[in-house]
Amino acid sequence: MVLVSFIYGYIAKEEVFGPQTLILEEGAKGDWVYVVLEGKVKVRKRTPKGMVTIDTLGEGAIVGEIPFLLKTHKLRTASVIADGVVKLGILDKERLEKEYELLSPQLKSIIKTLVLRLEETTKKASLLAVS
Amino acid sequence: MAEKKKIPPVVHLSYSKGELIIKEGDYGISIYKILHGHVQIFKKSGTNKIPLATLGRGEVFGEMTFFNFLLEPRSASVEAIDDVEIEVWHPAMLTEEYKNMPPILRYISKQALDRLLRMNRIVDDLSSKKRQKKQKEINHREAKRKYYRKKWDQEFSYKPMGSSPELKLSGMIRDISPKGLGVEVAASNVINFPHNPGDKFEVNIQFPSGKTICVVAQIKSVKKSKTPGSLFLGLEFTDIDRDANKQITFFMMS
Repeated sequence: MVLVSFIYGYIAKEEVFGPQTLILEEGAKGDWVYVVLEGKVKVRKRTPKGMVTIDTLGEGAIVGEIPFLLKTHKLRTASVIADGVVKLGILDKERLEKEYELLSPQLKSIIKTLVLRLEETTKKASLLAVS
Repeated sequence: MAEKKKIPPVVHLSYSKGELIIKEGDYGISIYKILHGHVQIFKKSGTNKIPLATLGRGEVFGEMTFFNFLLEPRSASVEAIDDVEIEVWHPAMLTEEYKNMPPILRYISKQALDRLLRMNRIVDDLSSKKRQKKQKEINHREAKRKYYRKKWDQEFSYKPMGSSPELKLSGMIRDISPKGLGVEVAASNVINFPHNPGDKFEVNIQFPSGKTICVVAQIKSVKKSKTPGSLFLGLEFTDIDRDANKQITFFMMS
């Protein structure tokens, strides 16, 4: 994926994490949205049979968008771990929120449904992966 | 910054229990939001209905077509499971709004959509692999069973354990394995003597070689037989001597 330039306009802060750092923890509170600027992260999910890596995301990838878009709970739905040294940009939540609120209720519902399906399907995939 | 968008026009529809709202394979464009009641999302596999999810008030369905930009038919059917009231959104205005929304939101939504499609593929792949594995296990078990059981139609005699030496009931052996027999006996035998799971019998088996063995076998299962007036018994050998075992093994290899 390629980093598109408009993203830089939304970055409030940059942070660098060392290899294997737990950046986001599944179940923890938080709804800040991140973008991978350099390096890679692993997305891991808890299952009854232990942790399973469901995705590896690189430059340009958005991370942590599910609780931001779901709005119902502000809990992380997966853990994100630095796969080597990684630089993340934290997106300006206030600005993001403002733009999101301007959408019609219908479009907001559709996006929320999409994210809900993503969360359900990811859960299903991680359970199948360990069974 | 964009002005607040006009709210797209909506239509309200009612469905009663059992009515189909979306049919799998159709090219529909509308998006639905449930105002009241419940719906079931399902896929058809042959004549079987595979339920995928039940949705209730406030939930949205039919949105995948929207994100696929109407290129794909409906991937599942949706049916009302009670009296349902629905708000129907025509996608034209929403598509326009989606295309024109702030690039950052489109960027985030597009990634969520791509991930969802990838996760769907992973789920499909893993489930079909799991199904194949299960089928393989079944095939393996059946092959094993075929190997260990030999079909055989042979008359035999038996009597309940400890009954008088003169008593002789008869039946037909239908299959044999080193572990036991599948036999058919007349239902009239059962009227006179109990044939319940756990009951033990002395069984005499005569092989084509002319050799006869006497073993003790216990009922494991009692089923109705395809032959009218008969019962099918699954018998397991509980007391079998070495010679009898050898005779069976020898017979099964022949």
